[in-house]
Amino acid sequence: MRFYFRIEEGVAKGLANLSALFLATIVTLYVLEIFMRYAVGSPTKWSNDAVGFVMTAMIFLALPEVTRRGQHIAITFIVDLMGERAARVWSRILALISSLVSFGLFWIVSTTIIKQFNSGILTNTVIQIPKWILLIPIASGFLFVATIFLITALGAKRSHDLG
Amino acid sequence: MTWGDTLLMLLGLLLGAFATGLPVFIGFFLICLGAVFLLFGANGFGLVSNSILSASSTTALTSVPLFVLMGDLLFRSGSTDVLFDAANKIFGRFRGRLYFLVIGLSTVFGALSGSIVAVTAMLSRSLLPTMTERGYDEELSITTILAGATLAPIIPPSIVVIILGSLVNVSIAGLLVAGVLPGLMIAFLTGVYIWARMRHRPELGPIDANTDNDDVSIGWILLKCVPFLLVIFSVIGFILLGIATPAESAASGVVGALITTALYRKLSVKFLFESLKEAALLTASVMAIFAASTLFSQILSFTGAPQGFLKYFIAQDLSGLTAFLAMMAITLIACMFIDVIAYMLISVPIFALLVEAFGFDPIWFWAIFLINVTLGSVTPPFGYALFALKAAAPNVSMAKTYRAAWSVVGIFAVAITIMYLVPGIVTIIPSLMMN
Repeated sequence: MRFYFRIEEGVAKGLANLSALFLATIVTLYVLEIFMRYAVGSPTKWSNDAVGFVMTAMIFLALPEVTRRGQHIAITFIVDLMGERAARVWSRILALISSLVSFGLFWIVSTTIIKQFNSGILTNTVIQIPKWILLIPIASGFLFVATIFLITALGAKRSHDLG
Repeated sequence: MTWGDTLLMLLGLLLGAFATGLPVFIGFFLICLGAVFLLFGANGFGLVSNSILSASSTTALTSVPLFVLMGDLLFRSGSTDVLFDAANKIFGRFRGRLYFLVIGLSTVFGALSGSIVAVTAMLSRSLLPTMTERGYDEELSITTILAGATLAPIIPPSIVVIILGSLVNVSIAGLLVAGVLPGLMIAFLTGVYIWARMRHRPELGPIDANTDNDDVSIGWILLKCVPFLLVIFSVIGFILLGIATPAESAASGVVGALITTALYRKLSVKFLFESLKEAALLTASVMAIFAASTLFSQILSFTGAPQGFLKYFIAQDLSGLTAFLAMMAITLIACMFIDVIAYMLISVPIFALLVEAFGFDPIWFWAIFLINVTLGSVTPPFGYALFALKAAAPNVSMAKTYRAAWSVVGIFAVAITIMYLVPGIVTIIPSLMMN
């Protein structure tokens, strides 16, 4: 199990670092937009769309690390009332359900990616790009989240971290 | 199945999923996937992908990570120590001065961070031990800290305002600046409450003098605070002047925070990257819920349940005041038990129909709603600011924290009553800005 934890940690941290870089990109795009508008007098037509694209990637690439750290927002007052052993078992069950839901979402988004790739559908934005590209970080995020929840469900070591 | 059955079933299943302790976003998605399958079959799953993409690429919501990043840069770097020194110097020697120092600091912190938890933790860790040591009443100190921290989501920048603004058809900029006067009024009311308590029982507020910075001039200390004014101006000022959108002003606030942190020699690449990462992670946890709840709202709307509820509510022939009180009471009670953001995402799409039907001024209503939702963060038994305080000051009993929190509820009840009677307190700045 320790081997899986190490891989999981490496992947989740790596994606979180990428997510941090995307956030830096968002700041840069906005500052660039203000500069272009007031200093150059020529606002960009594409920065708002680009911010939206980057935002999606930022969110879904950070999600595995949020899951690994057990930082998802959850209402835990019933779990808190349980005894230690019962809470541990229950947390593993919750992790399993979360894993199934996340795998389901991965499957749904992946299916849409294939459909949109085949149909060649573009985004409804000023600068049009293939829509399926934007769905890739979402699908990847759900896949890694599902895997981390599954490892949590299988391994007692981290089950108490859920939520 | 009637609209009532549908609404009760969907909300009941959702709250049930939350109560099990499932992550909130998983709870939302679990119910949504089941509902989509029942309503549309497997063919409806395409709706899920598109809804997630559309919600997560909402550019108005980029203010969320940017405001978090701005606050994180200033608070975690320790740059805000300068503000502590300045406030300590300004609030010289009078009875119960530390209570008023907390209120003054919280108001400024409210303009630098939108996080109630961050401000609660910071004040509890830094000032509560000093207050207790100097003979200040612990319960009243906690009341002051909680009331002060509650200003953070009300005075812009505010993360919950951004989320709320993106759910309803209201100017986010207008909603942001609408919090300025109510925030200042709550700070004032807290001051009046403390003054009244000390007048009744003078032993609650000892007379103590500041012992630090006696050799430093007040002019120099205030000069050191100037960079913070630039940060505040680049957020609130840019919005008020119409120079930048809320998201752009949030980005300029980040640049201001970077400059401020660099001026105090607290900036490093490692620290900056850590702040970026923490802001991204916090945003991901919030936005995952937002994406899931957007889908839930779409499904709910498709079933016609909110429209049915609206017709039923209007058929009761309630007065505007009764409807207002009902919505506020539901909000206050629900936020005692449910996470604030999760509650907003469930209730706002339904309340939005009622706000329109009763002809309430949207900025006025949603600003008061936001203040009420914020109050949920400090309302016993599950307000998360209470747990932040407990974590930062473990020796304080939970019973005392709860008692102190009820005083905050009282102060807010007075504030909300005033805002109901004098709507201009909420609407004057947004209307000036829009004119």
